[in-house]
Amino acid sequence: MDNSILRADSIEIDFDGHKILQGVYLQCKQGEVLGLLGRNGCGKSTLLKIIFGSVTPTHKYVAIDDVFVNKGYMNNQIAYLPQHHYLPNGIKIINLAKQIIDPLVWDEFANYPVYQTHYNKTVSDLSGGEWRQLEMLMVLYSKAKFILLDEPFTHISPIQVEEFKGIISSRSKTRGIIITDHYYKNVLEVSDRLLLLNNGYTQIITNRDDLVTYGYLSA
Amino acid sequence: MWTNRRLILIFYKPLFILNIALSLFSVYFISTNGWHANMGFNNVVVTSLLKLAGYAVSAGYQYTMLQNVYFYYRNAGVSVLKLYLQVLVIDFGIYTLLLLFYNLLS
Repeated sequence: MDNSILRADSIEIDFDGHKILQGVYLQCKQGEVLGLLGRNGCGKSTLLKIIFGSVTPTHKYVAIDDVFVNKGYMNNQIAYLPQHHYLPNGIKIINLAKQIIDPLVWDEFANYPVYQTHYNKTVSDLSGGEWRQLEMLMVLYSKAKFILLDEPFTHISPIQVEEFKGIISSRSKTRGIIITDHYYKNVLEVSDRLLLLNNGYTQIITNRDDLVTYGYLSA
Repeated sequence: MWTNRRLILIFYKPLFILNIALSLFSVYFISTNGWHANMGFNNVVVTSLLKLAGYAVSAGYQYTMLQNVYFYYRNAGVSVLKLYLQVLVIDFGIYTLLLLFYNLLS
C-alpha cells in the first residue's frame, strides 16, 4: 500500500455573501478513516464536493502527496458517495460496476450477495436500499486512493449499517476514507480520528466533551 | 482520449435515440429537398443546424434530468465535459457518414 496523504487547506466558499467555509484544513492518510461531524447546513457535503472537485470554491488548496489536485475525481484519485442515487438507469449493473471497480478487488466485490443477485439487472429493478448498497460498494471498491462518504448510513437497515462499518474498516487498510453522517455514533465507531465542522472551521475532536463544548451534542 | 469506450457508450445511450433520429431525418430531408434548396440555400447547413439544436436539447436534458449520474462518471475518473465532447464527435461522425452514404447511393 502507498502511504499517500490527502491535504485540503484554506478552503473558503460563500453563498449569497454568507461564508459557509473559511480556512478549513484537514488531512487524511491512506490507511485511516477520518470522521467529519457538524450540524445541518454547516457545509460538510460542500466540503466533500470541493475536495472531490465537483464544486468550485472561492479558494482552495487540495493536494495528494503535496501535488496540487484541481479535480480530485480525475484519473481515479478520489471517489465520492453523494447523498442521492448516482448510478445511471438503463444499464446492466455488471457493466456499470466494471467501469469503476478496482480489478485487484473485483472478486471480493462480486461476492457480495446484493451484486450476485442483481448483477444482470438495471438499478430500476432494485429496491432503494439495494440500490444504495450497490452504490456504496462501488465507491468503496473503486480504484480511488481516497474515498469520501456523504451520509452512507442513510437509507439502509441497521443490520446493513453494521455490515458496512466492517467493510469501511476493511477498505481503509488500503484507502483513506473521509466519512460524514448524522448518525454520529456510527461515525465515532468507524473513525480513527474526528473533526467537527463548526462556524466554517474544522476543530479537532478528541473526546465526547469536545462535541459538547462546540455545541454539537447537548450536555 | 478514447480509452473509456464503454463509458462513452453508457453516456451516449440516453441521448442516442433523439440524435440518431435527427440524423436519419436529415438524410430524409435532403433526399426529398435535394442538397440545395430552390432558393440556393444549402440544405446541409439546415440539417447541421438541426443537429446542433439536438445537441443543445440533449445537453439540457442531461443537465436538468440526469445531473445526479454525473457522479458515476466522475467516480470512474472521467470528466463529464470530456464525455460530452466525445459523444458529440461520435454522433456528428455518424451523421456525416449517413450523408456520405446517401450521396454515394444517389
